[in-house]
Amino acid sequence: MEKPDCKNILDQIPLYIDNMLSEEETDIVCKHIKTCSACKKEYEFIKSISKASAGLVSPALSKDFHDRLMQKISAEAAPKRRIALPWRKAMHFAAAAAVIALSVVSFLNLEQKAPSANVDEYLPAASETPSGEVQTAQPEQTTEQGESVAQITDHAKATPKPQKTVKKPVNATAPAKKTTQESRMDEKTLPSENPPVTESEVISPASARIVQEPDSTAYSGENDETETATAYRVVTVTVSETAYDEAAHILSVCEMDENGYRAEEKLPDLLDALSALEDYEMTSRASSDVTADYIQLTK
Amino acid sequence: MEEMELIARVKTGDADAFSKLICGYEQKLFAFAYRMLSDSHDAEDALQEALLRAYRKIDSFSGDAAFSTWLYTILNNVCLDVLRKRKRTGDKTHLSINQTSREEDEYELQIEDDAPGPYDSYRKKAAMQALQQAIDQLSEEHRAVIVMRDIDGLEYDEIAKITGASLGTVKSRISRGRLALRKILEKNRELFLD
Repeated sequence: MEKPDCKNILDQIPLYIDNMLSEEETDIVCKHIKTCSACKKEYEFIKSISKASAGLVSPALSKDFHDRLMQKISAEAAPKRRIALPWRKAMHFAAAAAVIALSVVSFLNLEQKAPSANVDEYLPAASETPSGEVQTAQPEQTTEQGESVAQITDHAKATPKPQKTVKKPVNATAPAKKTTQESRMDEKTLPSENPPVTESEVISPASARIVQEPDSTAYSGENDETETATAYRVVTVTVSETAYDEAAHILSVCEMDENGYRAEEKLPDLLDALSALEDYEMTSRASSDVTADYIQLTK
Repeated sequence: MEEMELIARVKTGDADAFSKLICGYEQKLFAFAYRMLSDSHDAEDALQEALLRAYRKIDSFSGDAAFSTWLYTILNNVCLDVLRKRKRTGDKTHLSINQTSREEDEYELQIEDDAPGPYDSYRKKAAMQALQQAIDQLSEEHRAVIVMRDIDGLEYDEIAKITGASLGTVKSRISRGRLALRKILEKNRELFLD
């Protein structure tokens, strides 16, 4: 017949085997199983089960497992490096590179027509002023044609100028303005030609100076915070109902507000992690109403 | 190369460093996944998924715990997800597969120097088969801690880190898991006792 405390002893045997009981409990169990044959058999049975478990052998891993894994890793490693640079900065670099390339092209084109000019004046934002006045880069200089800066700026005031931007603004309402260069060429102040003015030529002609409108929405290229009408991405991620909790767990590293999860620079890595979930779908839109990249999670 | 140095390189996107880093863990982790999921293919898939997650989330590894503990944690979560999904979809095929796939070499034992007689070999083989089937019947939480403790030999505090549970909870789960195995194997008691 089972002793009254054998049930309690049985409950403690699993931890007694691993020496995970308190000193007092260990002493009680030890003394009991020395005197109770039934509990002693239970102790030996539970202990042999644990010991047998240690002897279980698993099958070998597939020989090509590691290679298959590394193929997937390598596929991720390449884009991982590409997106290590935040996408917005990558766009800025690309835009800057485009400006430089166009500058070189324009310089080479216009060098034949009017060699003297200050290329630097065509770089945007340097000459912006908050005062609203039209500002020239080097007011003391004149062109080879003898026009003074004042004359150029007068032309600039008189005629609408195309907006010159290094980065294309998201705000589509920015007015198109002509630069001084374009205005002068339109009015045939250069002696040799009137080629059609293209955006590329306007950006960096070598033979004339450009006047930067102070209210231009041109991107400065220097500091994101000076941009007006900056747009960020709002990414809507949909997963299955069963994967929703895990998706929320992945996104728990982000702050959350009325716009969703504020992903910021973590956006690419978060999307990578979410893409592994069941029924993953993603749509993205640009929005100037938010101040960082966001993820909105749905199921 | 030191493990921490490899981890630092992986954080820069070095896939070769990751290859070297996880090479020594793959079989052991697979064994854990296999015991959890009772199926080689599912276990390999789970391990692939876990190691991919580890690569993607390598920046989140702070070094507070051992790297193996971190890998176990990810793999444990993946396996639990698989088990829960099976439960939701009512997938019972793995139980039947379990009974047929665990034959022949799957019950190799650590035989001692003096080779047992035919009856002893049969008895031990039968014991192992019964044991594996009993482990498969445990709940996910009990199965995880029993596999980690009794099969993989992990310490209680490491199991607590992996499962995210307190030490007290781990103790409770191991205790109940072992008692559950005892109950399931009651009818095969003679296979385990000399």
